[in-house]
Amino acid sequence: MREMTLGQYYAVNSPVHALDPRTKILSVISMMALIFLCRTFCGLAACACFVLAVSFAGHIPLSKMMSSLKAIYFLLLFTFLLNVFFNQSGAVLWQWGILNLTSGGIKRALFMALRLVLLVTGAGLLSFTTSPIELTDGLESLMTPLKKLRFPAHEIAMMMSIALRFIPILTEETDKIRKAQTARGANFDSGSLYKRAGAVVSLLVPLLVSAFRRAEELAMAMEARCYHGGEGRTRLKVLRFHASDAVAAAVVLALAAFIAADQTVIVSLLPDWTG
Amino acid sequence: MDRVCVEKSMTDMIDMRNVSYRYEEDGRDVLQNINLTVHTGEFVCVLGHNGCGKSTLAKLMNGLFQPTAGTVLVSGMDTRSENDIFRVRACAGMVFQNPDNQTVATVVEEDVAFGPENIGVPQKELRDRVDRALAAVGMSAYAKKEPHRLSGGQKQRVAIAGVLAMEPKLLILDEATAMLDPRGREEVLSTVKKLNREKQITVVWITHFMEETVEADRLLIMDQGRICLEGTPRELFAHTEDLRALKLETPPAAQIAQTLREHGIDVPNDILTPEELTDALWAFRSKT
Repeated sequence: MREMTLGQYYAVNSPVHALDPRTKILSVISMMALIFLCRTFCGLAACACFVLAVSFAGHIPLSKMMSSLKAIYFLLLFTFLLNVFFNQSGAVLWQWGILNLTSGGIKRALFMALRLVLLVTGAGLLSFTTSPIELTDGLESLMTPLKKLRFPAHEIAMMMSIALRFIPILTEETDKIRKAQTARGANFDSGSLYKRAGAVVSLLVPLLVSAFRRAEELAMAMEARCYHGGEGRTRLKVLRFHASDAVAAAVVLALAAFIAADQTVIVSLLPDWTG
Repeated sequence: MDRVCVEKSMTDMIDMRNVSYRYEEDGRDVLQNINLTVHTGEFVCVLGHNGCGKSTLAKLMNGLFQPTAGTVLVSGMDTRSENDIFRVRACAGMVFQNPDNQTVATVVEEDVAFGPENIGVPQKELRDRVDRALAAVGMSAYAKKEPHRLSGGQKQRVAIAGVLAMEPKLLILDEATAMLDPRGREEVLSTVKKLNREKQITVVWITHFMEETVEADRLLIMDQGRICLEGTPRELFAHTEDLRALKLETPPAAQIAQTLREHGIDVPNDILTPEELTDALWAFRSKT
Protein backbone atom coordinates (compact mmCIF):
# COMPACT_ATOMS: atom_id res chain seq x y z
CA MET A 1 0.00 0.00 0.00
CA ARG A 2 1.27 3.42 -0.90
CA GLU A 3 2.50 5.44 2.03
CA MET A 4 0.79 8.75 2.26
CA THR A 5 0.57 11.43 4.84
CA LEU A 6 -2.51 13.48 5.42
CA GLY A 7 -2.01 17.20 5.43
CA GLN A 8 1.42 18.36 6.52
CA TYR A 9 1.62 16.62 9.86
CA TYR A 10 5.23 16.15 10.90
CA ALA A 11 5.16 13.19 13.29
CA VAL A 12 7.67 13.60 16.10
CA ASN A 13 7.34 13.74 19.85
CA SER A 14 7.70 17.24 21.15
CA PRO A 15 6.17 19.46 23.83
CA VAL A 16 4.35 21.38 21.09
CA HIS A 17 2.89 18.20 19.60
CA ALA A 18 1.71 17.19 23.06
CA LEU A 19 -0.30 20.37 23.61
CA ASP A 20 -4.07 20.24 23.57
CA PRO A 21 -5.25 20.94 19.99
CA ARG A 22 -7.60 23.62 21.29
CA THR A 23 -4.66 25.50 22.80
CA LYS A 24 -2.85 25.35 19.49
CA ILE A 25 -5.85 26.45 17.43
CA LEU A 26 -6.58 29.39 19.71
CA SER A 27 -2.89 30.34 19.90
CA VAL A 28 -2.54 30.38 16.14
CA ILE A 29 -5.69 32.46 15.75
CA SER A 30 -4.40 34.96 18.34
CA MET A 31 -0.98 35.03 16.77
CA MET A 32 -2.45 35.80 13.36
CA ALA A 33 -4.53 38.58 14.83
CA LEU A 34 -1.41 39.98 16.50
CA ILE A 35 0.52 39.85 13.24
CA PHE A 36 -2.25 41.84 11.58
CA LEU A 37 -2.55 44.34 14.41
CA CYS A 38 1.15 44.86 14.80
CA ARG A 39 2.42 47.96 12.97
CA THR A 40 6.12 48.04 13.76
CA PHE A 41 9.15 46.04 12.71
CA CYS A 42 9.90 45.56 16.37
CA GLY A 43 6.54 43.85 16.91
CA LEU A 44 6.99 41.71 13.81
CA ALA A 45 10.43 40.71 15.06
CA ALA A 46 8.80 39.55 18.28
CA CYS A 47 6.31 37.49 16.28
CA ALA A 48 9.17 36.06 14.22
CA CYS A 49 10.99 35.10 17.41
CA PHE A 50 7.81 33.42 18.61
CA VAL A 51 7.38 31.43 15.38
CA LEU A 52 11.05 30.37 15.42
CA ALA A 53 10.92 29.43 19.09
CA VAL A 54 7.79 27.31 18.60
CA SER A 55 9.23 25.57 15.55
CA PHE A 56 12.39 24.86 17.57
CA ALA A 57 10.39 23.52 20.52
CA GLY A 58 8.31 21.43 18.10
CA HIS A 59 11.41 19.93 16.47
CA ILE A 60 10.30 21.21 13.07
CA PRO A 61 13.35 21.61 10.82
CA LEU A 62 13.82 25.02 9.24
CA SER A 63 13.71 23.50 5.76
CA LYS A 64 10.24 22.15 6.53
CA MET A 65 9.13 25.61 7.66
CA MET A 66 10.49 27.14 4.47
CA SER A 67 8.72 24.55 2.33
CA SER A 68 5.38 25.91 3.49
CA LEU A 69 6.35 29.18 1.77
CA LYS A 70 6.60 27.49 -1.61
CA ALA A 71 2.95 28.07 -2.33
CA ILE A 72 3.24 31.81 -1.85
CA TYR A 73 6.50 32.69 -3.65
CA PHE A 74 4.60 34.38 -6.43
CA LEU A 75 2.23 36.16 -4.08
CA LEU A 76 5.21 37.38 -2.04
CA LEU A 77 6.95 38.78 -5.07
CA PHE A 78 3.76 40.38 -6.34
CA THR A 79 2.92 42.13 -3.06
CA PHE A 80 6.51 43.23 -2.68
CA LEU A 81 6.65 44.85 -6.11
CA LEU A 82 3.21 46.38 -5.71
CA ASN A 83 4.17 47.97 -2.40
CA VAL A 84 7.57 49.10 -3.57
CA PHE A 85 6.20 51.03 -6.51
CA PHE A 86 2.87 52.22 -5.20
CA ASN A 87 4.03 53.59 -1.90
CA GLN A 88 5.67 56.91 -2.62
CA SER A 89 6.60 58.13 0.86
CA GLY A 90 10.10 59.04 2.01
CA ALA A 91 13.17 59.96 0.00
CA VAL A 92 13.32 59.02 -3.67
CA LEU A 93 16.25 56.65 -4.14
CA TRP A 94 15.92 55.72 -7.77
CA GLN A 95 13.76 56.73 -10.67
CA TRP A 96 13.05 55.21 -14.06
CA GLY A 97 10.20 56.51 -16.15
CA ILE A 98 7.11 56.50 -13.99
CA LEU A 99 8.65 54.09 -11.48
CA ASN A 100 9.91 55.65 -8.28
CA LEU A 101 11.81 53.72 -5.67
CA THR A 102 11.40 55.40 -2.30
CA SER A 103 12.75 54.58 1.14
CA GLY A 104 9.19 54.50 2.51
CA GLY A 105 8.17 52.14 -0.29
CA ILE A 106 10.96 49.70 0.48
CA LYS A 107 10.15 49.73 4.18
CA ARG A 108 6.49 49.19 3.50
CA ALA A 109 7.19 46.37 1.04
CA LEU A 110 9.56 44.62 3.42
CA PHE A 111 7.04 44.97 6.23
CA MET A 112 4.20 43.48 4.18
CA ALA A 113 6.39 40.63 2.90
CA LEU A 114 7.56 39.77 6.40
CA ARG A 115 3.98 39.86 7.64
CA LEU A 116 2.94 37.44 4.91
CA VAL A 117 5.83 35.08 5.63
CA LEU A 118 4.98 35.05 9.33
CA LEU A 119 1.30 34.45 8.68
CA VAL A 120 2.00 31.44 6.49
CA THR A 121 4.74 29.88 8.60
CA GLY A 122 2.71 30.53 11.75
CA ALA A 123 -0.31 28.75 10.32
CA GLY A 124 2.05 26.02 9.12
CA LEU A 125 3.11 25.42 12.72
CA LEU A 126 -0.42 24.29 13.54
CA SER A 127 -0.61 21.77 10.71
CA PHE A 128 2.94 20.51 11.32
CA THR A 129 2.35 19.77 14.98
CA THR A 130 -1.32 18.72 15.04
CA SER A 131 -2.66 15.62 13.30
CA PRO A 132 -5.87 16.07 11.29
CA ILE A 133 -7.78 13.96 13.82
CA GLU A 134 -6.65 16.14 16.72
CA LEU A 135 -7.57 19.22 14.71
CA THR A 136 -11.06 17.84 14.12
CA ASP A 137 -11.49 16.97 17.80
CA GLY A 138 -10.22 20.40 18.80
CA LEU A 139 -12.54 22.19 16.39
CA GLU A 140 -15.54 20.18 17.53
CA SER A 141 -14.81 21.02 21.13
CA LEU A 142 -14.31 24.71 20.35
CA MET A 143 -17.49 24.86 18.29
CA THR A 144 -19.62 23.15 20.95
CA PRO A 145 -20.84 26.41 22.53
CA LEU A 146 -22.22 27.34 19.11
CA LYS A 147 -24.61 24.39 19.34
CA LYS A 148 -26.90 26.66 21.35
CA LEU A 149 -27.25 28.77 18.22
CA ARG A 150 -28.25 25.59 16.33
CA PHE A 151 -24.84 25.46 14.71
CA PRO A 152 -24.25 21.79 13.67
CA ALA A 153 -20.88 21.44 15.44
CA HIS A 154 -21.00 17.67 15.90
CA GLU A 155 -22.15 17.05 12.33
CA ILE A 156 -19.40 19.20 10.85
CA ALA A 157 -16.74 17.46 12.94
CA MET A 158 -18.15 14.05 11.98
CA MET A 159 -18.11 14.97 8.30
CA MET A 160 -14.53 16.19 8.56
CA SER A 161 -13.35 13.02 10.25
CA ILE A 162 -15.16 10.78 7.75
CA ALA A 163 -13.66 12.79 4.90
CA LEU A 164 -10.21 12.27 6.44
CA ARG A 165 -10.93 8.58 6.82
CA PHE A 166 -11.83 8.21 3.15
CA ILE A 167 -8.99 10.21 1.60
CA PRO A 168 -6.57 7.25 1.50
CA ILE A 169 -9.32 4.90 0.29
CA LEU A 170 -10.41 7.17 -2.52
CA THR A 171 -6.80 7.91 -3.50
CA GLU A 172 -6.16 4.22 -3.84
CA GLU A 173 -9.35 3.79 -5.80
CA THR A 174 -8.44 6.63 -8.17
CA ASP A 175 -5.19 4.81 -8.81
CA LYS A 176 -7.01 1.56 -9.58
CA ILE A 177 -9.49 3.24 -11.92
CA ARG A 178 -6.68 5.10 -13.67
CA LYS A 179 -4.91 1.81 -14.32
CA ALA A 180 -8.12 0.10 -15.43
CA GLN A 181 -8.93 2.94 -17.85
CA THR A 182 -5.35 3.03 -19.13
CA ALA A 183 -5.65 -0.68 -19.84
CA ARG A 184 -8.76 0.14 -21.84
CA GLY A 185 -6.92 2.71 -23.90
CA ALA A 186 -7.49 5.94 -21.99
CA ASN A 187 -4.63 8.39 -22.17
CA PHE A 188 -4.15 10.73 -19.23
CA ASP A 189 -0.66 12.02 -19.96
CA SER A 190 -0.59 13.31 -23.51
CA GLY A 191 -2.76 14.93 -26.12
CA SER A 192 -4.39 18.34 -26.16
CA LEU A 193 -5.83 19.87 -23.04
CA TYR A 194 -9.31 19.16 -24.37
CA LYS A 195 -8.51 15.48 -24.88
CA ARG A 196 -6.95 15.17 -21.46
CA ALA A 197 -9.96 16.76 -19.83
CA GLY A 198 -12.07 14.15 -21.63
CA ALA A 199 -9.89 11.38 -20.25
CA VAL A 200 -10.29 12.74 -16.73
CA VAL A 201 -14.05 12.36 -17.07
CA SER A 202 -13.52 8.63 -17.51
CA LEU A 203 -11.72 8.74 -14.15
CA LEU A 204 -14.13 10.97 -12.28
CA VAL A 205 -17.40 9.32 -13.20
CA PRO A 206 -16.57 5.84 -11.84
CA LEU A 207 -14.94 7.45 -8.81
CA LEU A 208 -18.04 9.48 -8.07
CA VAL A 209 -20.34 6.49 -8.54
CA SER A 210 -18.24 4.42 -6.17
CA ALA A 211 -18.06 7.25 -3.64
CA PHE A 212 -21.86 7.39 -3.56
CA ARG A 213 -22.07 3.62 -3.13
CA ARG A 214 -19.57 3.80 -0.29
CA ALA A 215 -21.46 6.63 1.36
CA GLU A 216 -24.64 4.61 1.25
CA GLU A 217 -23.01 1.54 2.77
CA LEU A 218 -21.26 3.59 5.41
CA ALA A 219 -24.53 5.26 6.39
CA MET A 220 -26.10 1.82 6.77
CA ALA A 221 -23.17 0.57 8.86
CA MET A 222 -23.28 3.67 11.08
CA GLU A 223 -26.99 3.23 11.60
CA ALA A 224 -26.45 -0.44 12.47
CA ARG A 225 -24.04 0.76 15.17
CA CYS A 226 -26.73 2.94 16.73
CA TYR A 227 -25.54 6.27 15.33
CA HIS A 228 -28.19 8.92 15.77
CA GLY A 229 -26.37 12.23 15.75
CA GLY A 230 -24.42 13.89 18.52
CA GLU A 231 -27.12 13.71 21.14
CA GLY A 232 -26.34 11.55 24.14
CA ARG A 233 -22.99 10.56 22.68
CA THR A 234 -20.01 9.92 24.92
CA ARG A 235 -16.40 10.04 23.76
CA LEU A 236 -13.53 7.62 24.23
CA LYS A 237 -11.03 10.45 24.17
CA VAL A 238 -11.90 13.57 26.07
CA LEU A 239 -9.65 16.57 25.54
CA ARG A 240 -8.06 17.84 28.73
CA PHE A 241 -5.91 20.89 29.37
CA HIS A 242 -2.61 20.26 31.13
CA ALA A 243 -0.04 22.48 32.82
CA SER A 244 1.82 22.80 29.53
CA ASP A 245 -1.27 24.38 27.96
CA ALA A 246 -1.21 27.07 30.63
CA VAL A 247 2.47 27.71 29.82
CA ALA A 248 1.64 27.99 26.11
CA ALA A 249 -1.21 30.38 26.85
CA ALA A 250 1.11 32.48 29.03
CA VAL A 251 3.66 32.72 26.22
CA VAL A 252 1.01 33.87 23.75
CA LEU A 253 -0.29 36.41 26.26
CA ALA A 254 3.25 37.70 26.80
CA LEU A 255 3.61 38.15 23.06
CA ALA A 256 0.30 40.02 22.96
CA ALA A 257 1.37 42.21 25.86
CA PHE A 258 4.67 43.00 24.21
CA ILE A 259 2.99 43.96 20.95
CA ALA A 260 0.42 46.09 22.73
CA ALA A 261 3.16 47.90 24.66
CA ASP A 262 5.20 48.23 21.53
CA GLN A 263 2.27 49.82 19.67
CA THR A 264 1.55 52.39 22.34
CA VAL A 265 5.08 53.24 23.51
CA ILE A 266 7.24 52.99 20.46
CA VAL A 267 4.69 54.32 18.02
CA SER A 268 4.26 57.43 20.17
CA LEU A 269 8.04 57.99 20.26
CA LEU A 270 8.92 57.35 16.66
CA PRO A 271 7.39 58.57 13.43
CA ASP A 272 5.17 55.95 11.84
CA TRP A 273 7.43 53.78 9.66
CA THR A 274 4.75 51.95 7.90
CA GLY A 275 2.88 54.87 6.47
CA MET B 1 -19.36 -26.88 17.01
CA ASP B 2 -21.11 -29.50 19.03
CA ARG B 3 -24.84 -29.78 19.28
CA VAL B 4 -24.74 -29.56 23.07
CA CYS B 5 -24.65 -25.77 23.13
CA VAL B 6 -27.94 -25.64 21.25
CA GLU B 7 -29.72 -27.85 23.70
CA LYS B 8 -28.50 -26.19 26.87
CA SER B 9 -30.46 -22.97 26.37
CA MET B 10 -33.51 -22.85 24.20
CA THR B 11 -34.63 -19.24 24.64
CA ASP B 12 -35.14 -17.55 21.31
CA MET B 13 -32.71 -14.89 20.19
CA ILE B 14 -34.52 -14.14 16.97
CA ASP B 15 -38.11 -14.97 16.23
CA MET B 16 -39.43 -14.14 12.77
CA ARG B 17 -43.07 -14.84 12.12
CA ASN B 18 -44.61 -14.76 8.64
CA VAL B 19 -42.14 -12.10 7.58
CA SER B 20 -42.34 -10.65 4.09
CA TYR B 21 -40.39 -7.75 2.72
CA ARG B 22 -40.48 -5.65 -0.41
CA TYR B 23 -38.42 -2.58 -1.25
CA GLU B 24 -41.15 -0.70 -3.09
CA GLU B 25 -44.80 -0.66 -2.28
CA ASP B 26 -45.84 -2.27 -5.57
CA GLY B 27 -42.62 -4.26 -6.08
CA ARG B 28 -42.20 -7.99 -5.74
CA ASP B 29 -41.58 -9.62 -2.39
CA VAL B 30 -37.84 -10.02 -1.82
CA LEU B 31 -38.65 -12.21 1.17
CA GLN B 32 -41.77 -14.31 1.28
CA ASN B 33 -43.37 -15.55 4.43
CA ILE B 34 -40.24 -16.35 6.40
CA ASN B 35 -40.63 -18.21 9.67
CA LEU B 36 -37.38 -18.51 11.51
CA THR B 37 -36.23 -19.01 15.06
CA VAL B 38 -32.64 -18.64 16.17
CA HIS B 39 -31.91 -20.01 19.62
CA THR B 40 -29.54 -18.44 22.10
CA GLY B 41 -26.00 -19.72 21.69
CA GLU B 42 -26.67 -21.23 18.30
CA PHE B 43 -24.39 -20.91 15.25
CA VAL B 44 -26.72 -20.64 12.28
CA CYS B 45 -25.51 -20.37 8.71
CA VAL B 46 -27.61 -18.92 5.93
CA LEU B 47 -26.52 -20.02 2.51
CA GLY B 48 -27.69 -18.94 -0.90
CA HIS B 49 -26.45 -17.47 -4.14
CA ASN B 50 -26.66 -13.78 -5.04
CA GLY B 51 -30.06 -12.17 -4.95
CA CYS B 52 -31.75 -14.86 -2.87
CA GLY B 53 -32.65 -12.36 -0.15
CA LYS B 54 -30.10 -13.30 2.48
CA SER B 55 -28.77 -9.75 2.95
CA THR B 56 -32.30 -8.44 3.29
CA LEU B 57 -32.92 -11.10 5.91
CA ALA B 58 -29.87 -9.85 7.84
CA LYS B 59 -31.04 -6.23 7.73
CA LEU B 60 -34.43 -7.25 9.09
CA MET B 61 -32.73 -8.87 12.06
CA ASN B 62 -31.51 -5.61 13.58
CA GLY B 63 -34.18 -3.20 12.52
CA LEU B 64 -32.31 -1.59 9.61
CA PHE B 65 -35.31 -2.69 7.54
CA GLN B 66 -38.83 -3.08 8.85
CA PRO B 67 -40.86 -6.06 7.64
CA THR B 68 -43.65 -5.30 5.14
CA ALA B 69 -45.70 -8.01 6.84
CA GLY B 70 -45.17 -10.17 9.90
CA THR B 71 -43.08 -9.47 12.99
CA VAL B 72 -39.42 -9.72 13.91
CA LEU B 73 -38.56 -10.16 17.58
CA VAL B 74 -34.95 -9.80 18.71
CA SER B 75 -34.43 -11.10 22.23
CA GLY B 76 -38.13 -10.48 22.75
CA MET B 77 -38.08 -6.88 21.45
CA ASP B 78 -40.08 -5.94 18.38
CA THR B 79 -37.85 -4.24 15.79
CA ARG B 80 -40.76 -1.95 14.93
CA SER B 81 -40.77 -0.38 18.37
CA GLU B 82 -39.10 3.02 18.19
CA ASN B 83 -38.24 2.99 21.88
CA ASP B 84 -36.32 -0.24 21.59
CA ILE B 85 -34.58 0.29 18.26
CA PHE B 86 -31.16 1.19 19.70
CA ARG B 87 -31.43 -1.65 22.21
CA VAL B 88 -32.24 -3.99 19.31
CA ARG B 89 -29.26 -2.78 17.32
CA ALA B 90 -26.88 -3.00 20.28
CA CYS B 91 -28.16 -6.50 20.99
CA ALA B 92 -27.92 -7.71 17.39
CA GLY B 93 -24.57 -6.46 16.12
CA MET B 94 -24.01 -6.50 12.42
CA VAL B 95 -20.84 -6.90 10.35
CA PHE B 96 -21.02 -6.08 6.65
CA GLN B 97 -19.23 -7.27 3.58
CA ASN B 98 -16.89 -4.41 2.70
CA PRO B 99 -14.48 -3.70 5.55
CA ASP B 100 -13.61 -0.23 4.21
CA ASN B 101 -17.20 0.98 4.14
CA GLN B 102 -18.00 0.24 7.76
CA THR B 103 -15.03 1.86 9.45
CA VAL B 104 -15.86 5.33 10.67
CA ALA B 105 -12.78 6.56 12.52
CA THR B 106 -9.18 7.05 11.47
CA VAL B 107 -7.76 5.11 14.42
CA VAL B 108 -8.63 1.48 15.21
CA GLU B 109 -9.55 1.99 18.85
CA GLU B 110 -11.70 5.01 18.10
CA ASP B 111 -13.57 3.02 15.51
CA VAL B 112 -14.21 0.25 18.03
CA ALA B 113 -15.49 2.91 20.43
CA PHE B 114 -17.94 4.32 17.87
CA GLY B 115 -20.83 1.96 18.72
CA PRO B 116 -20.67 2.27 22.51
CA GLU B 117 -20.18 6.05 22.17
CA ASN B 118 -23.46 6.20 20.28
CA ILE B 119 -25.37 4.38 22.99
CA GLY B 120 -23.88 6.69 25.60
CA VAL B 121 -21.61 4.31 27.52
CA PRO B 122 -19.83 6.39 30.20
CA GLN B 123 -16.25 7.34 29.34
CA LYS B 124 -14.65 5.30 32.13
CA GLU B 125 -16.34 2.11 30.96
CA LEU B 126 -15.63 2.86 27.28
CA ARG B 127 -11.88 2.35 27.63
CA ASP B 128 -12.47 -1.00 29.27
CA ARG B 129 -14.96 -2.16 26.65
CA VAL B 130 -12.70 -1.18 23.76
CA ASP B 131 -9.72 -3.00 25.26
CA ARG B 132 -11.76 -6.13 25.93
CA ALA B 133 -13.32 -6.13 22.45
CA LEU B 134 -9.93 -5.75 20.76
CA ALA B 135 -8.47 -8.52 22.93
CA ALA B 136 -11.38 -10.82 22.05
CA VAL B 137 -10.55 -10.60 18.34
CA GLY B 138 -6.79 -10.65 18.91
CA MET B 139 -6.21 -7.11 17.66
CA SER B 140 -4.98 -5.41 20.85
CA ALA B 141 -1.58 -4.73 19.28
CA TYR B 142 -3.22 -2.64 16.55
CA ALA B 143 -5.25 -0.31 18.79
CA LYS B 144 -3.45 2.85 17.67
CA LYS B 145 -3.02 1.91 14.01
CA GLU B 146 -4.83 3.43 11.06
CA PRO B 147 -7.49 1.08 9.68
CA HIS B 148 -6.46 1.52 6.04
CA ARG B 149 -3.05 0.02 6.77
CA LEU B 150 -4.52 -3.31 7.98
CA SER B 151 -5.16 -6.42 5.91
CA GLY B 152 -8.72 -7.32 4.92
CA GLY B 153 -9.00 -10.01 7.59
CA GLN B 154 -7.69 -7.63 10.24
CA LYS B 155 -10.13 -4.91 9.16
CA GLN B 156 -13.03 -7.35 9.52
CA ARG B 157 -11.80 -8.39 12.95
CA VAL B 158 -11.76 -4.71 13.93
CA ALA B 159 -15.32 -4.43 12.61
CA ILE B 160 -16.28 -7.41 14.78
CA ALA B 161 -14.60 -5.74 17.78
CA GLY B 162 -16.61 -2.59 17.03
CA VAL B 163 -19.76 -4.65 17.37
CA LEU B 164 -18.54 -6.57 20.42
CA ALA B 165 -17.89 -3.31 22.25
CA MET B 166 -21.66 -2.78 22.30
CA GLU B 167 -21.87 -6.11 24.18
CA PRO B 168 -24.32 -7.80 21.83
CA LYS B 169 -25.95 -11.17 22.41
CA LEU B 170 -26.10 -11.84 18.72
CA LEU B 171 -23.64 -11.35 15.90
CA ILE B 172 -24.96 -11.15 12.34
CA LEU B 173 -22.28 -11.42 9.68
CA ASP B 174 -23.54 -10.52 6.24
CA GLU B 175 -21.03 -12.09 3.84
CA ALA B 176 -18.26 -10.78 6.04
CA THR B 177 -15.69 -12.94 4.27
CA ALA B 178 -16.78 -12.37 0.67
CA MET B 179 -14.09 -9.79 -0.08
CA LEU B 180 -11.24 -11.51 1.77
CA ASP B 181 -8.46 -13.80 0.63
CA PRO B 182 -8.50 -17.40 1.96
CA ARG B 183 -6.27 -16.47 4.90
CA GLY B 184 -8.46 -13.54 5.89
CA ARG B 185 -11.55 -15.73 5.62
CA GLU B 186 -10.04 -18.29 7.93
CA GLU B 187 -9.02 -15.56 10.41
CA VAL B 188 -12.53 -14.12 10.57
CA LEU B 189 -14.34 -17.46 10.68
CA SER B 190 -12.17 -18.85 13.48
CA THR B 191 -12.56 -15.59 15.46
CA VAL B 192 -16.33 -15.82 15.20
CA LYS B 193 -16.37 -19.51 16.10
CA LYS B 194 -14.30 -18.75 19.16
CA LEU B 195 -16.69 -15.97 20.25
CA ASN B 196 -19.62 -18.35 19.81
CA ARG B 197 -17.93 -21.07 21.81
CA GLU B 198 -16.32 -19.05 24.58
CA LYS B 199 -18.63 -16.08 25.03
CA GLN B 200 -21.86 -17.87 24.06
CA ILE B 201 -22.64 -15.20 21.47
CA THR B 202 -25.32 -16.35 19.07
CA VAL B 203 -24.11 -16.18 15.47
CA VAL B 204 -25.98 -15.78 12.21
CA TRP B 205 -23.40 -16.35 9.49
CA ILE B 206 -24.53 -15.42 6.03
CA THR B 207 -22.41 -16.60 3.13
CA HIS B 208 -22.30 -18.11 -0.31
CA PHE B 209 -19.24 -20.23 0.47
CA MET B 210 -20.52 -23.65 1.36
CA GLU B 211 -17.31 -24.81 3.02
CA GLU B 212 -17.74 -22.14 5.70
CA THR B 213 -21.01 -23.69 6.82
CA VAL B 214 -19.65 -27.16 7.57
CA GLU B 215 -19.37 -26.70 11.32
CA ALA B 216 -22.62 -24.80 11.87
CA ASP B 217 -25.25 -26.06 14.29
CA ARG B 218 -27.91 -25.42 11.72
CA LEU B 219 -27.91 -24.51 8.07
CA LEU B 220 -30.61 -22.64 6.21
CA ILE B 221 -30.56 -22.60 2.45
CA MET B 222 -32.38 -19.75 0.77
CA ASP B 223 -33.63 -19.39 -2.74
CA GLN B 224 -35.83 -16.68 -4.26
CA GLY B 225 -36.80 -15.13 -0.96
CA ARG B 226 -37.68 -18.36 0.81
CA ILE B 227 -35.94 -20.72 3.15
CA CYS B 228 -36.07 -23.86 1.05
CA LEU B 229 -33.92 -26.30 3.03
CA GLU B 230 -33.15 -26.43 6.73
CA GLY B 231 -31.19 -28.88 8.86
CA THR B 232 -27.72 -29.73 10.08
CA PRO B 233 -24.99 -29.36 7.45
CA ARG B 234 -24.55 -33.13 7.51
CA GLU B 235 -28.21 -33.75 6.73
CA LEU B 236 -28.30 -31.19 3.95
CA PHE B 237 -25.06 -32.02 2.22
CA ALA B 238 -26.25 -35.55 1.66
CA HIS B 239 -28.90 -34.07 -0.70
CA THR B 240 -26.39 -33.43 -3.45
CA GLU B 241 -29.05 -33.37 -6.16
CA ASP B 242 -31.26 -30.81 -4.39
CA LEU B 243 -28.27 -28.60 -3.80
CA ARG B 244 -27.20 -28.82 -7.40
CA ALA B 245 -30.70 -27.79 -8.45
CA LEU B 246 -30.20 -24.65 -6.33
CA LYS B 247 -26.87 -24.04 -8.09
CA LEU B 248 -24.97 -24.70 -4.88
CA GLU B 249 -21.85 -26.78 -4.75
CA THR B 250 -21.17 -29.13 -1.87
CA PRO B 251 -17.76 -28.77 -0.16
CA PRO B 252 -14.84 -30.35 -2.08
CA ALA B 253 -14.43 -33.24 0.38
CA ALA B 254 -18.13 -34.14 0.00
CA GLN B 255 -17.83 -33.92 -3.77
CA ILE B 256 -14.85 -36.27 -3.82
CA ALA B 257 -16.64 -38.72 -1.54
CA GLN B 258 -19.67 -38.60 -3.84
CA THR B 259 -17.52 -39.29 -6.92
CA LEU B 260 -15.72 -42.10 -5.09
CA ARG B 261 -19.06 -43.70 -4.24
CA GLU B 262 -20.15 -43.42 -7.86
CA HIS B 263 -17.01 -45.36 -8.77
CA GLY B 264 -17.82 -48.12 -6.34
CA ILE B 265 -15.53 -47.10 -3.48
CA ASP B 266 -17.53 -47.55 -0.33
CA VAL B 267 -17.18 -44.39 1.80
CA PRO B 268 -19.93 -42.91 4.02
CA ASN B 269 -22.31 -40.41 2.31
CA ASP B 270 -22.08 -37.70 4.96
CA ILE B 271 -18.43 -36.70 4.62
CA LEU B 272 -17.81 -32.93 4.90
CA THR B 273 -14.20 -32.21 5.80
CA PRO B 274 -10.87 -33.37 4.35
CA GLU B 275 -10.09 -35.01 7.72
CA GLU B 276 -13.22 -37.13 7.57
CA LEU B 277 -12.39 -38.09 4.02
CA THR B 278 -8.88 -39.14 5.02
CA ASP B 279 -10.24 -41.26 7.86
CA ALA B 280 -12.79 -42.88 5.56
CA LEU B 281 -10.13 -43.67 2.99
CA TRP B 282 -7.87 -45.22 5.66
CA ALA B 283 -10.82 -47.25 6.90
CA PHE B 284 -11.55 -48.33 3.33
CA ARG B 285 -7.93 -49.31 2.77
CA SER B 286 -7.68 -51.37 5.95
CA LYS B 287 -10.88 -53.19 4.95
CA THR B 288 -9.51 -54.30 1.59
